[in-house]
Amino acid sequence: MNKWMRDHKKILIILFFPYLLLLFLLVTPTKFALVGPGGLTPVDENVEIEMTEMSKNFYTIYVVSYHPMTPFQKIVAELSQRIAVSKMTQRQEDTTWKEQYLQGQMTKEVSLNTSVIKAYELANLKDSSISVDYSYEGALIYYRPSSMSLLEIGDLVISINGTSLTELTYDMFIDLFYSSLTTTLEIQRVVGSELKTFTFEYTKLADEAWMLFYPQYDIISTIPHVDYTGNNATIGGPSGGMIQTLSIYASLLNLNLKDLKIAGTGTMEMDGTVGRIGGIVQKLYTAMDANADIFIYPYGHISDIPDLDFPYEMVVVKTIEEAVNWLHEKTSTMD
Amino acid sequence: MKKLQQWIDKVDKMYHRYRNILKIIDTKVNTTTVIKSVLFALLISLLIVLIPALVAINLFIYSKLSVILSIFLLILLTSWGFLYFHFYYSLLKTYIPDLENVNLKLPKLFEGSLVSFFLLVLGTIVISVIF
Repeated sequence: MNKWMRDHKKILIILFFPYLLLLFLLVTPTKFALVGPGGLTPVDENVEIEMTEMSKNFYTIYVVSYHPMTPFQKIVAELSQRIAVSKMTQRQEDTTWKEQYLQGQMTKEVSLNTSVIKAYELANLKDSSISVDYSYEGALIYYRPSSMSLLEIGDLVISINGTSLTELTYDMFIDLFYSSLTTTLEIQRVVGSELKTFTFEYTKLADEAWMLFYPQYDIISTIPHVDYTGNNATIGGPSGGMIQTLSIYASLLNLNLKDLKIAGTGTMEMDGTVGRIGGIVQKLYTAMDANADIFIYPYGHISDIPDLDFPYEMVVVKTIEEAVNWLHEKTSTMD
Repeated sequence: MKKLQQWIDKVDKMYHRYRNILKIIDTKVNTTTVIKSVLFALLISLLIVLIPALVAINLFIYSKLSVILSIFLLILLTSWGFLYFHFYYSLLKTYIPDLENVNLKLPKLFEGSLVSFFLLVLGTIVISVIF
């Protein structure tokens, strides 16, 4: 072996430089982020309702979101029209992979809670035996500048400037928080089995991005009882809210959609609005590859839809009520 | 049944041959040569698998390729076990010329298979947890 190495010494030295270059391309982080097509996840994998068969027609769409990209990934991604490459935002640059994961899991749970509440409320209008009891607990921290190391993703803000958040609506809290550069927040954190509460003086610095929040609703009880069974820890985010709501609603009312494959995206807000999401174009491609029959998306993205020949029916909705009405019309045409 | 008996005998013979070769190696090596061989074998085998492994990991941005890439990574992990022992025994032979006449194919194959099997099981568990 030594002899072989001596004989090929020159080649080995020459090859060492392209090797180093390749290594550099494969591991060095850039300031770019990518969003690429992903796949579909059946909603019935995430939710289980007592004595109710979950509808098998609804699918959430996930996309591959990755930052920071390596130079190799940037070169490869730019060869594909389906992958969007963009400069990392200030918040992305300031977020670690662990925090990104926590954000995804936190928003997934918040989105499931909102979906259950909205679906049960809407189903209650058709069948009064279906009910949900919930309470607004406060605002969960989704993003905070990394300089505020005292705060963690998922901490619950329970009061602002001495006023309990349960006395305010979530929108009132948001208005209050963003109207001032300094605020006093009371934070609640779960440490093991204990609840730890502390006060944090927040000052918005000029070179830092604003903190971001999500409302925390605690579901006290539901009839029929609902359980979250989803265990895919690699998929997170709030974009499945609207389609989860539709799926739970259709399951509660036992709506027959035969074997339609309905994919959809859009966040679910408590006022019924279906909100914007990231990577809409990549989600369109994902639904194409997965042979979806229907694609439901938020009205806020109407101008982002590319001029393509989509192999599925496109449905645009502003609110969950619109989506539910569409669902009933669809069911009636299928009978 | 007879075939199975023959097969068990064959494996038993191979195992005894492997033990004998190990005894011969143990009488000839010292701690320094073993440490040097282990470190250089680790370095060379890792340098060989590093680039293809990183390329595969980078390509996970294409979700459609994730199954193929996972299988590729498992193959790479498995072959690393064989590669490591190949370089380890080759380096040992270089450092100890007395081993020139010892047939090291059997320990390479035996130990390589054992480590590769362990890595394959570990890799499969990790990949199935992730996906």
